[in-house]
Amino acid sequence: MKTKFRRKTTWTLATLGILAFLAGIPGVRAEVSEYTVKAAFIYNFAKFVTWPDKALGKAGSPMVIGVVGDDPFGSALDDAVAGKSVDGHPLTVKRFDGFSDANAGALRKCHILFISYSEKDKVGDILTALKGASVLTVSEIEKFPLKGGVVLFDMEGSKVTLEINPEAAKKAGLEISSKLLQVAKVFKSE
Amino acid sequence: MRSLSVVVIVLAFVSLNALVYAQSTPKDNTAQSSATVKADTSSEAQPAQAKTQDLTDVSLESLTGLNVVVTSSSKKAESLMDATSAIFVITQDDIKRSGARSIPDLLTMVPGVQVARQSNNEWAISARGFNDNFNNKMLVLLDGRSVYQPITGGVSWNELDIPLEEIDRIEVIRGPGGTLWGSNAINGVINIITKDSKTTQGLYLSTSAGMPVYSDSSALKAATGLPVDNIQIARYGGLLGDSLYYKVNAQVSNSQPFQNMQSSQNSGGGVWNDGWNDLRAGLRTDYHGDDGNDLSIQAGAQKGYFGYERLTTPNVPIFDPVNFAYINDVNTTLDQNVYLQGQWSKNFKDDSQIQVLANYSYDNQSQANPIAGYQSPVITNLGQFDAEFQHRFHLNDWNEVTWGGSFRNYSDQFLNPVYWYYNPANQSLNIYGGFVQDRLTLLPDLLYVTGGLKAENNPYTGWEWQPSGHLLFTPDSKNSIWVAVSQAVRIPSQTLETSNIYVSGLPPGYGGMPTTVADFVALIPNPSLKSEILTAYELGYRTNLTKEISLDLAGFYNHYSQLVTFPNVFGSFPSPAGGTIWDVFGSVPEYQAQNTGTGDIWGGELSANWDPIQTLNLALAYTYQGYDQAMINSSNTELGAPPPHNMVSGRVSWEALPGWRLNGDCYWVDATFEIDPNINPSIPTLAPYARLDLGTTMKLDNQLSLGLWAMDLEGTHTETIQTLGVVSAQVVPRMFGQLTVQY
Repeated sequence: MKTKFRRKTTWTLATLGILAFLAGIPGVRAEVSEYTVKAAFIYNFAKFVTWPDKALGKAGSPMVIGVVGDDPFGSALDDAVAGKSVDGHPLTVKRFDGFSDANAGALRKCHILFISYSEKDKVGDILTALKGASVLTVSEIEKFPLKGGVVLFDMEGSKVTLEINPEAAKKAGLEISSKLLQVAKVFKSE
Repeated sequence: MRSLSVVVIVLAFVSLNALVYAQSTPKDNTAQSSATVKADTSSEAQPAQAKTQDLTDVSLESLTGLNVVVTSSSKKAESLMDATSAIFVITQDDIKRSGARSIPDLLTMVPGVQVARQSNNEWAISARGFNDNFNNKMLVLLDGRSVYQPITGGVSWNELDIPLEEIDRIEVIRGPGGTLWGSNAINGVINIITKDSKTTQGLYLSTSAGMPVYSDSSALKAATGLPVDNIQIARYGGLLGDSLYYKVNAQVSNSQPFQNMQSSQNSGGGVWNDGWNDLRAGLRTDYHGDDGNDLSIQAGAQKGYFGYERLTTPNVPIFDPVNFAYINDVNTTLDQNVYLQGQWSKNFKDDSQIQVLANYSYDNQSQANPIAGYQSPVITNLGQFDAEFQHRFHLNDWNEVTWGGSFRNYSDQFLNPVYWYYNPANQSLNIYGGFVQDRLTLLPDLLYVTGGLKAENNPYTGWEWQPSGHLLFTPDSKNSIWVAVSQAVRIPSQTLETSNIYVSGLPPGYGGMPTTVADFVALIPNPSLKSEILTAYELGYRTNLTKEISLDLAGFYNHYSQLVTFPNVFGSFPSPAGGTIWDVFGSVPEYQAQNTGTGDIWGGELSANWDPIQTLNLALAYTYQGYDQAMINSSNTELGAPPPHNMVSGRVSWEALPGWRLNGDCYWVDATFEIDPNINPSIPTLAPYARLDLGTTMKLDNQLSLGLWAMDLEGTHTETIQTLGVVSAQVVPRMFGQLTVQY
């Protein structure tokens, strides 16, 4: 029994020792996390989309980025927009619990609204509630442009890609710069 | 100690290589500061530190070109809050953080699921009881194609050795799924979903090699060093046209036998015949149109050699009644199969969806060598055609309807039988049916009720009805409670309906018997076998206690009736050779499958996740299962045992440095009691078994990753009960290294 125990212990120790040795390798580096990139994209949307003057208000009033449902960003979104403003409008992040009639009014006041995957079954309701408001809707929910959303975060391999529904943007009174459209797949509805 | 030195040397060698590689990477990469990454127009911008990086100054073009670490878990887990069954999803993150070499290895993390490794290439996997390598009570689907095989019932896990890197997710549903998936989904459904070619663009290469390590001294120790689990994978994905993607992949893998200390009773030399050698290749195209059309077509082929040892214990030799010969069924299966499958779905603006699925597969299994003294190898051919249609739509605001139909044809052929005879030798069976399910919103965002019914026809038992009702209560976005009542059936397998299996016998002329007949212990077919029926009552609760802690609890009470047991039958039965099996002593019984069993199994399953900080992930699964006396009595057979009372699985994964992870997995299964010792103390029980895996994975750079793992550190052990027909090999500690390149 004693030898068996010792063998097991040596085994474990050897493994741990090797792991520790590996920790010393200087070349170990990180990739970029998905939501850091998505947060950077959202910052770029603020720059490359034009809102009607009425929606933005006067200079100095904040440009609101809303997240409705479970927030997948962690601190990435706050980090991306911290201290930044676009055309004199400071960027702020507002978070909302799952969609309900109670927060529908507040959502309409957002300039950019990220609709979390947790709202998958409520997309139709949310988009209906936003009708007529100048909100740039962004989501990862499958077929988002087909459902009437503006920007879909998609994945191609390990790259984040965009799909944009210009018609939905137009309906919301938003103007999307050609620079942004160039890097996106443009959704064409029949 | 020799084994230990081997381990150290190999690990040191691999790490040294890694070190050399790391240092030879371009300086500007390693020396990059953690501050801002400047705008970079090349598509290969590689920022250094994930945590503090700021990408807001990076150009749009560069952002779309960045390779990112995909966090799959958040999306999938959140969408589970509305599920009304005990579902667990194995994500890509879970796969990357485990040392699993196969799908069965991955399934140990799922609460309620028992994984028992019977040999190097065979597994007994079950949910909520009935663990057996021919577990016929769980349905397994690969991209919607059923891989449940109708001949014996159950799944050949060694045929499912698809590269784990191809898996998008595995959805495991414990409990009945008959209403949606049809027959045989009574104790659970495992949905293996592979990656869309859209998400697997570019080149991926992986090589891994392992070896067994013995902690005990043994004559077989000399054999240490023979490679196990060598797996080479290549994949390339590209674009064929607008929104049209493709990928091709191939895998070459092999493994030496586990070199069991426990000597094989059959081959005698002490080496269990459980090595394998496998080759597989696949092709897939995916189209994602703007108009809501998604089309996926895939094809694949496999050729594999899998060693096995069957049905032989020293006192019970196999006797072939047709050729009057004792045989030793230690052989290698040559498995060759091809499949073609297509899936089309159309999503409409009103959130309705049509889905059509069709597939064909052909599987040829033969013994690599004929049994000694025989001319030809035993061959089994199985063709399977499937077509399914499903339509989901909203009748109005509060009523969602899903309905569909399915047709399946199996046609099989049994050639050159030895001791296992089918009558007729060529069989074709059609299984068809339809289902409808209605989901009503009773109170918006609060209370939902779902009812459904599947009607399915099979040639053995005719029409089978599988209803279910579910209730979902979601007081807020962080809590949900569900209740379900369902009935599901397991239809008889071809083997039990139509085959004779001869386990042992007395040769003609023995002990005064006539010279033309023999006396056997045999399995006699039962053409009037009925379906096994499960009535299940389930209750579940899911909560996100905090952002860091989530819990998933499920409880079940399963009542089984018409369970198949194998009582003794006496008398004369026709022999496949044309004569009559003669019961000379009147005391040598035959066995026959009959629906005499009944019993209850109940239990609870807990799954908990705790991510105290972003870089530390902890997961725990605990299962309790109980059963009544009737279940014990019903288990008095050669097939199946009541479930172990307790199972625990724990996982830790810590990203110690960016890109560098330490992982640990453990799994423990309580003792299995084949039978109440008061009834028949001679039937063996199985001691508790445990597994412990430790490993590390690192990103050496954006393209190159390394993994080093030590598996089953707990030591050499047995995970299945050795009974007539099921021989268990030993699981041995192993280690392996894996290197992957991705462009």
